[in-house]
Amino acid sequence: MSTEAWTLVAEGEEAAIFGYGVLTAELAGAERTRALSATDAHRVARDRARAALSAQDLNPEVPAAFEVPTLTNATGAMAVAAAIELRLTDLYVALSASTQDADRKYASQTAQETTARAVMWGWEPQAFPTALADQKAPVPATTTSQGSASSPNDGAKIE
Amino acid sequence: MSQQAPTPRRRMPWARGSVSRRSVLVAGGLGISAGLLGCSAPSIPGFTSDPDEEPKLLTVASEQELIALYSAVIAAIPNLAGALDPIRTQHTQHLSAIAADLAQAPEPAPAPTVPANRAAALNLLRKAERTAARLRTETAVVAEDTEVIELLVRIGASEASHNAYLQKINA
Repeated sequence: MSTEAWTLVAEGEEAAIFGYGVLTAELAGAERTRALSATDAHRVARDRARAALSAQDLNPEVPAAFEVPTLTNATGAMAVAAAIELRLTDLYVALSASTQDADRKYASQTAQETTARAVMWGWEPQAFPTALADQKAPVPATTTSQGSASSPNDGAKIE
Repeated sequence: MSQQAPTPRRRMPWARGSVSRRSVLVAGGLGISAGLLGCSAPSIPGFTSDPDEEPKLLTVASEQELIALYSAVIAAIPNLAGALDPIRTQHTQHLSAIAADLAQAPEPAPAPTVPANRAAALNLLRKAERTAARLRTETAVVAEDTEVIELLVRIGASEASHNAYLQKINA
């Protein structure tokens, strides 16, 4: 059970790193600095997820490319950043329920960090944070042909 | 991890010795008075039908304190009502969700004394949200039911986002 949750977290963190790599180009000043700092945090989190999987002798394949909505300005970039973070909140909530002790603590603390970052990107707090209905977070490019639900109409495939 | 080494679903802190889960929670510096729990718990700890009753009661007490704190700040600084009312409402939603299946209705917390200065009041709320978020994590670690764990983690995430929100409006 925890294997699946860690795998989703590892993939979600890869998508986050990829997405921030695209959206950071639209940002300047303090927002750019914040995006770079978030990217670092997601690299550390990705490495932790992969380490947890390696400890189970697992090295799941990571998608080589993700689909990111087309970005034309800083506002759009911040909306995607918020979506990235909230999607991870869901993945860490799921991880918390399928792990114990130190791993559960880590999952809870990381869910708090991702949700707090979403607020810094302009998302309004909610009682029960969850991924945005109009999903803007990057999704693996290999799965976007499976359904329009995870494939924004204005999405651009970036490889 | 758990696949390779079959272990009980939970390694329960209170099963390691004579330490009860309540004393683990309280000794963990979580700050909620055992007296309050003692008054409101409808039955003897360790013999309740709901294994997560104590995590729920801890969370109920904490949410009540937060609601009382927000109410006191809004009363002291009415200008903040527009910004703080939605957050107070979210704590009420946390309270309703976690107290939904408790046998006993929670009592409201007494009104605390708060500073009249805007920045000081917002800092007080931020500190309370950070403490609450930490408490949700600690409580989620000892909870057993999957839905309760997820609810506590999501509530903690909400409270961490409140801290960020308060930081923004105080900037």
